[in-house]
Amino acid sequence: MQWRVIKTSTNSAALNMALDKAVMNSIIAGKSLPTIRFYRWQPSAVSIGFFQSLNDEVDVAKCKELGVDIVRRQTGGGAVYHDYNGELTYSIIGPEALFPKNINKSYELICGWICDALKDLGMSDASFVPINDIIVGGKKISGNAQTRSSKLLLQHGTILWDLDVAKMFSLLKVADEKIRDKMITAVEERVTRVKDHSSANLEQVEEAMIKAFTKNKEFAFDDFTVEEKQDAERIAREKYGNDEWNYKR
Amino acid sequence: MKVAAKKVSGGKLVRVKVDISDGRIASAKIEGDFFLHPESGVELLEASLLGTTILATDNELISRLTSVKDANSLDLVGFSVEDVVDVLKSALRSE
Repeated sequence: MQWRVIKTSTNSAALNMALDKAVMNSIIAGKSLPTIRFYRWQPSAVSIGFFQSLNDEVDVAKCKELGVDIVRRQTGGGAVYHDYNGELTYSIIGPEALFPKNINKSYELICGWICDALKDLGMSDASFVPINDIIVGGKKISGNAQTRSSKLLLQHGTILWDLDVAKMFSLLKVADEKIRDKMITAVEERVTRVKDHSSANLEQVEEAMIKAFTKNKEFAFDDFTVEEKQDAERIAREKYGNDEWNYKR
Repeated sequence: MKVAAKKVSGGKLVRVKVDISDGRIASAKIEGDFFLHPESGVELLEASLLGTTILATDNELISRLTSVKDANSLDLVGFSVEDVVDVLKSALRSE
């Protein structure tokens, strides 16, 4: 099966989420190949999981003050700060049949590719921690989230390259229960970044990710189709850029 | 509104928000950073709690949620129906 790889594009939060949906629509219609894409977020943005309450998780006033976008994802998982200058996001979208049926196993498979990419960049102890995290030096460097519909699997996730952790946690409300649970009072101690371990820049991170994700796959570089871009603009307008969706919980 | 939350050991955060009217659950929200497939299943779980007496036992509540889970082939990742009931009961006990 041939895969399409779309190199890093930079978009708004709503459009990034909408592009995933547009690609899914196009694959279902038989018009696009299974796709691996990379992207950055401009403006920087906070995305929350499908099941989260926006006001419980995000300091909306602070986001507005700093010009940070907010979007609800189609996937579960937690709140994530996508810093334009500090993070690369990936999405992989393909037939469910190409991945393990068991959700935990599919996370392990795809996150294993990310670990391979990080090891390629010198982080030899990169490892997958169930359910959906990747750690280096015992700290989280990547979070991932998956959804399945219409016999397709979408998994997307972030690789922290150079994150302003203090800024991130000023935008997010971290539940006390989590901090208490891990007995760590300084949330900055829970995350790390590529820049702490490697001299690789974002382009090199993308290269390593492409190499790891396309191993043993037939693939070609391409762009979104015109139809996908138009569909994504519509979905961004109607759903991901809409308060009715973002504030539904 | 009564609210409670817990971090599931080895799993995710689950938060339950309930409103009570005449001794029964009038509204329920199950929130958190867990995964549930398909995602629409959360509304089915929430709806199944409506009208339940606040005196329902844990087993009754677990049974109710499990029925919905099984009937709709819901896959709960990072939490369980038992966790939801545990948090729901905490919420009901809260001030």
